[in-house]
Amino acid sequence: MRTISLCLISLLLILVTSGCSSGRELERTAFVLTMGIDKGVNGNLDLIFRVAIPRSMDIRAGGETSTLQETTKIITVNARSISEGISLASTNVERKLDFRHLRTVLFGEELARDELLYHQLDALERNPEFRRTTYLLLTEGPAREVFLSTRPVLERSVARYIDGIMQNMREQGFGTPVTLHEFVTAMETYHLDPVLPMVKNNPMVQSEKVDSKVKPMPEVKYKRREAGKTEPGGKTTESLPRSGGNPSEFIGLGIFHQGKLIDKWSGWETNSYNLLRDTYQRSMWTFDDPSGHFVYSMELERARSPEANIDWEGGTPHIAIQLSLDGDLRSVQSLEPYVDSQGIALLENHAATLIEKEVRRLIAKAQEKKIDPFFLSRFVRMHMATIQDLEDLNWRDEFSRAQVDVHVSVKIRRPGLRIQPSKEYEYQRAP
Amino acid sequence: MRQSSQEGHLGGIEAFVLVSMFIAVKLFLHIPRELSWAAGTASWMVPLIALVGVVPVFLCIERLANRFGRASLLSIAGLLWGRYVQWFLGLLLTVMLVIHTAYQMRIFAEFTITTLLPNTPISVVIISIALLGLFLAFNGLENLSRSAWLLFPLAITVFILSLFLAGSQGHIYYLSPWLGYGGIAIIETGFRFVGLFKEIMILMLIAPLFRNQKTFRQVGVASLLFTGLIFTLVQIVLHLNFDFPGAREIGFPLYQLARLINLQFVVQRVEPFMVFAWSTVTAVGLAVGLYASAIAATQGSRAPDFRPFLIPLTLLTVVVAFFPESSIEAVHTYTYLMMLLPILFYGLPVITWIWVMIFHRSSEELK
Repeated sequence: MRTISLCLISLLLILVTSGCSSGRELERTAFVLTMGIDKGVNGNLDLIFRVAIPRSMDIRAGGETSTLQETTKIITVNARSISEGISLASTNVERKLDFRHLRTVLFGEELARDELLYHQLDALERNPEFRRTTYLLLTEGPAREVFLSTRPVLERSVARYIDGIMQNMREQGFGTPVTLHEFVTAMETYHLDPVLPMVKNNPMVQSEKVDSKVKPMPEVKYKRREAGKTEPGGKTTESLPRSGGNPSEFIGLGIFHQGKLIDKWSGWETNSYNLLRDTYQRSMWTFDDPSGHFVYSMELERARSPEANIDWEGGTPHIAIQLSLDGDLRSVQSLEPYVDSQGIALLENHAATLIEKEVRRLIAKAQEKKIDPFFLSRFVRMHMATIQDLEDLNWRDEFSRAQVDVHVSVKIRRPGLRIQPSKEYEYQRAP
Repeated sequence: MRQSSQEGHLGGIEAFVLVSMFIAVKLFLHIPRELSWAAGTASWMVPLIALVGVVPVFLCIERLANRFGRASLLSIAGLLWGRYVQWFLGLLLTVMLVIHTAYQMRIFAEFTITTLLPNTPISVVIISIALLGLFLAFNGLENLSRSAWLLFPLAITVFILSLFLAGSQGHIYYLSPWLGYGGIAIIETGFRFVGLFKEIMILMLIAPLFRNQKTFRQVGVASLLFTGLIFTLVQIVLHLNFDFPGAREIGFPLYQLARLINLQFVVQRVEPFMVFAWSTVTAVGLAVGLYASAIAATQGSRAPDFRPFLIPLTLLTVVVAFFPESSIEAVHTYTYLMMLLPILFYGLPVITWIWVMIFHRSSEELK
């Protein structure tokens, strides 16, 4: 009797604990890898889903695909909300749309400018299929355009494509990866304005697209298109002078204030932002040579977290910021023999001065708009006792009229695999 | 109290794990969020202050157990005030424990459906966990404590590792302003949340299962300190990752913390490990809750064995678990119960101890 009872209980447990009622078979699931949200007509949303075609990625199954377009399909629906869009999209997909492998969500610029972006985040936070580690991106122009034109140079896997882009932002600068969690936390944090990394279509590369492939333009045409571009790449919010590769460029930041996109910052400004916000890891910096001709480059990483001392005496806040960087010398185009104690010090001081100037300029820009995306108020709240004090702080006003001193310390730790630059013995550059 | 021949003594370390898991069940529910609501950035201080408030109660339990040769509190109550009072208090404790366990069961089921099994009927989850709890409790506390001790090393390793990984991604400035809503407010909130440790009351029901007073005392102190530390650690990690306005709106704090772990390509999507720790602690905790309600009924009615009470009380627990109409209602009522139940769970030993100190001079009666 005891054995029979045990068998019956075991059988019952198998039936009720298997979780089959929530089972989702792989063969019945359509994984959405990236999603875009644009402002549609009549106040609706245009939702763009990139759905994976797993079979096409499997070479063993005879897949010969090499591009993202062949491993995924794009579906766009017009709906009033994300949730409604998902259910409407399901009416034409034979499998259940699943967002557990979603890597990134792209928001169209118009949506962000019209204060509609924040209103879409609740759906992403509430539905357990969306992870808070999903990356968010802001597109210049409609998100759908980026969806349709993006052509990864190498990857055909969306996950590796996005992870690679985000890793490049961490290691090369010009952007900063922002997850859903980080963006929502920034929204909810007192005295902080959130930012999103930008992705835009490069018009030069876009013009090279033939069918679904990018065919680099002829030299003459390239020179003609390149003419007139005087500023170095990344200094302004303009697209890079470029031919070939992916039409999508991940460079710059979109700045939000009170739910609205209010400004766009360039790649250089993004590097300065990263330094102040403590999201900087490493980046390549190129400066004009102290001799006045050519440039030199350094790969600098964060040596220490930024420090700020805020002094409230005299009614005007004085903010003293200390940034510390160190790294390697990567190129000396002028071929000047800088690699000795005096020359290195000259390069370090010169670089520090130029970075200070860039950072100060960006801070002044933020002060003018009365915003603080750098979260400098964190240095104030660390000295606060109560939440009431934090709520009473009128930080944006205080920051906008603050005197800010920035001190940057740059240390070149290694000169690379060469000491002084190579030079022809009798070479003298024409003055 | 007469114990069944099947009930053996509890080992010290096993009892510590058992009591700790019983206390810690609520940690995996919504309670970290409630603490953030109540105390803001200083929510990590609440468990420490609550701990200070619970220590005198535990001392009352310990002194009573010592004075009456580790008789259960209901037996002591019977001795002091007669069998009808003993019966009434047993009934009251049973009802309260059934309600408490039922609400924990319901919230566990709601969270399981929200996170892991979206299409599973809630009845399936509740009945499954109730059957598991019944099975574990039916074999007695000695067996249950050994099961808990076997699962403990893996569960605590996974748990601590998850907290460490999540904490390493956080930012220290989210813990400021350091005193939350103010010094006085945080002390007041701390004492309001003494119910965090109310499950320590199980010691007054299972005192006869301890071999000696020293083990009994050590288990109580160690369980309180350990769970206090874990509660504090969780609140710190929660606030390292979420600023206080966000922390107080997190649906399922520990699960969502585990989902944030994302060390680029290498370590991500590790929340199933946390789910293991969560399920283990919850299964053991709910089984202890069922056992505690049965043993309270047994001691109140001076019955020889707890097992005849177990199945009907489990059934009652399942029924009560279906009372709340929604997850939100279950969560609100459970939080309210956490404030209310300490009146009985802490009040009973304190009043008994005061009574004994004033009116009960002789300690020879039980002998």
